[in-house]
Amino acid sequence: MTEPIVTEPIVEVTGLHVSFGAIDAVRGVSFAVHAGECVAIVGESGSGKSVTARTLLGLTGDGARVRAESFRIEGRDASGYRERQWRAIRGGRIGFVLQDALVSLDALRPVGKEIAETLRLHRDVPGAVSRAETAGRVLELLREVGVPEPELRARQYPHELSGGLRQRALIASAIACHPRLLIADEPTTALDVTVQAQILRLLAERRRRGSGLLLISHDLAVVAELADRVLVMRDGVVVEDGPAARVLRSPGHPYTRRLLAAVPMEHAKGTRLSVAEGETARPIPARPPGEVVIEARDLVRTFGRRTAVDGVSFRLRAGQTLGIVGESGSGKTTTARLVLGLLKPDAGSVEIDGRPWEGLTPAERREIRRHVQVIYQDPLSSFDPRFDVRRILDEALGVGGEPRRTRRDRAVELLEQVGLDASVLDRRPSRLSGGQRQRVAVARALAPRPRVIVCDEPVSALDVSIQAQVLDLLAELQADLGIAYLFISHHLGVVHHVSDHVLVMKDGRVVESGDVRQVFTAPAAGYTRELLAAIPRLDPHPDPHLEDTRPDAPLDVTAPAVRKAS
Amino acid sequence: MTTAAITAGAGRARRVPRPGVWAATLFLTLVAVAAVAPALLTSGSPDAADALAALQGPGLAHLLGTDANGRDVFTRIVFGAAPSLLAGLGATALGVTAGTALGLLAALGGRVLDEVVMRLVEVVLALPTLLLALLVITVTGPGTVNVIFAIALYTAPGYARLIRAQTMVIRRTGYVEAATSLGLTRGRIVARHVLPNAFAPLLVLATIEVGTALVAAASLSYLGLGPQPPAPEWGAMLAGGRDYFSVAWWIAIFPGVAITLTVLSITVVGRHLRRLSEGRAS
Repeated sequence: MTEPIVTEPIVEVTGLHVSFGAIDAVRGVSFAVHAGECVAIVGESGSGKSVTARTLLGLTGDGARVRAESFRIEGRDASGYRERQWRAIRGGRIGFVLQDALVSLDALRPVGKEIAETLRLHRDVPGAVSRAETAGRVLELLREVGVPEPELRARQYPHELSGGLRQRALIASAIACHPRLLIADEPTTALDVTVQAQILRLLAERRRRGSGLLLISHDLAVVAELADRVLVMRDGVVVEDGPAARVLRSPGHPYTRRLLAAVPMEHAKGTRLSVAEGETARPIPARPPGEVVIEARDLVRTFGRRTAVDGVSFRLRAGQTLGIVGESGSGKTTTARLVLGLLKPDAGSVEIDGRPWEGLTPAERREIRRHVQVIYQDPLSSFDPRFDVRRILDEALGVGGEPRRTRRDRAVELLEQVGLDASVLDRRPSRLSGGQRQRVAVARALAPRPRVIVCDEPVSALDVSIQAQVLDLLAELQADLGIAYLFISHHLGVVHHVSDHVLVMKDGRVVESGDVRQVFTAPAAGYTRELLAAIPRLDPHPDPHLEDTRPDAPLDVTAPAVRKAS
Repeated sequence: MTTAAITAGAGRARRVPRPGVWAATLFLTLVAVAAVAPALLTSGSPDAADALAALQGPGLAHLLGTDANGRDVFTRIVFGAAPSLLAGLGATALGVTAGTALGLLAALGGRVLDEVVMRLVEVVLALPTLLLALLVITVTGPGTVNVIFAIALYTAPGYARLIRAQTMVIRRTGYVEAATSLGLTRGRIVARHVLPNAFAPLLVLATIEVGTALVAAASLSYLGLGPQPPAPEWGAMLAGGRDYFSVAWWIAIFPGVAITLTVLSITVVGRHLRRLSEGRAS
């Protein structure tokens, strides 16, 4: 099949301005999307990328003022469109896929009905189906987006489907009327890496069939997988625009360079991810491994009939980072809670500095707790909402035995250590930015001078450049203080960047463990290879190491695979 | 920075009280003055009977008229503020304290204690409230203190339920887990994190409930179970005016208006406080 020669773009905007009251969210953005082309808009929160996407659907809302030098959809001037005309565009001409399918799908309706509604609303578009054909077309669509057992799935409600299936159902509903353009706003951000790869393949397939694709993402690697053209946005302005290969390989703008430097998968431990303009990055020195601070032996923990953690063993030494990576439900967080002594294992033991949690008096347990601190994905929920930063640090210092009169000075010192100044002392965390909150969480964790900090998805909620700063901060603290990290994440790139050793978990078991370079370059377990192959890469040519032709090694599920535990 | 400034500004804008809130606050201040220092508002004595001036209508001599014994209704309302308010506030304070203790006990004391406390709470909640109060006063005898006790007995279970639910949620929050990981003792975590956060929404509810308790206390007084005559109390005054309603409506109406306005004002101010606390939470 030969592609028809396309002369006219599906959408074309020049000089787009969107403002909300006094705030200019988008300032002078121009781009066009052609059939069979993927244009990606990359940027951090507040860059205006999502507002730009919504403008193409007339979804900016009442408070917004939209101006453009020209704004054409399928050759027609769209700048004066009213709600009725937008309704014909949405779903009919342009399909929209959002990040969180659980929110975007009606919770009280089976997904089949949801998809059928799009078909019902657009009976006048070319290729529309009659009432009688609707049910058949819904199943056809579900099959097209790779939903197994479509007859069953069509009858199910969104909460009964997994995240991947929900996202597919949403895409099915978005493509139901053969829209010429598909807008996907962070379509894979909430998904596990293997599911993300499937969704990206699905989107690539749409493009191959001639659909235009506008991809909105903060993740440069995801963009690299799909995009033909990339627009880099910051504060409502496009700072760089060009073919994806050029922008991602030889970026012209310093901001693009900073974003690329911040991608953790591309940089080994010790490399700084956050680099100020014009500065050359000094590497962060590595610590030699010290004495064993955590020893976990054959941990088992069940919840009802489900075994969350099954035979997990590992050893963590001072000054080192052990990464635990796995998809949702793999038992990572349960393992963390067992290490923190917040849960009791059904079998096995955890020793902190050679002392097991079990068989201690409450006072002895409290004494050990000081040595194992924790930072969470959502720092805000880990602070008492009534407390300001001063009280948060004061409490943590008090536990660490700091005398009352020196606590203020120590609090300021801690804040300096995490890159904040004393002015935040009187503020509540709810008034701080996401990055500042995580820094306060780190400062609190440091207060009782711990040996180990358990990091449970500490950067998953942060923007790329803030994530880079926090990861650099953690690395510097490790170099200075010799703290050990137990670093838990579903994000393989982040784990690759921070860890010395890695545990790969699946269904509560360790399927592979070892030195980070070894696991990421020569994975032994089939599951690890599957995970690694699914990671979107800036350079879409597959890593030669991943093109391993050996027959799949059997999954190591019988014994905890502590191959190299130091 | 900008967003923080904007939200702070919006919060401040919402915090400007409406005229109704000002009026209610002003009225409550007057009631409070009447309760603490009645002599500031009236020169007369609540018990000064004057047979010659009996059953006079509202006028210049007696602002709100006089009752069957010739006592000044306005003066009696002013002096009646103290026992009426005391009953409302006291009953609420006692109910909240007992309810909080029970709620914490149920939420943190283990499964057996939880079962016992909550079944007890359900039994009390199943009984008609006024009937329960009547029963208590029948046993203990009339009087302000006993009225307070009776009302607290049937309001405490509601507070206990609320505190229990709040505590159950809060003990699973990230900040309690973080405090545990820091090595704080259980008692400290409850005192410093669980109780204050569980209590905050209750405090606002309790403000509004002071009004309800005040009405309940007045009702019990009306039935003759509160302070005994000739002590001035709004509910008792209402009862005293009952027999003269067709000839001297002011004897019953004005104490009734005092009760209504006080409860209304408490509700308005309480709602305003709730809006403030919700604004802070979000």
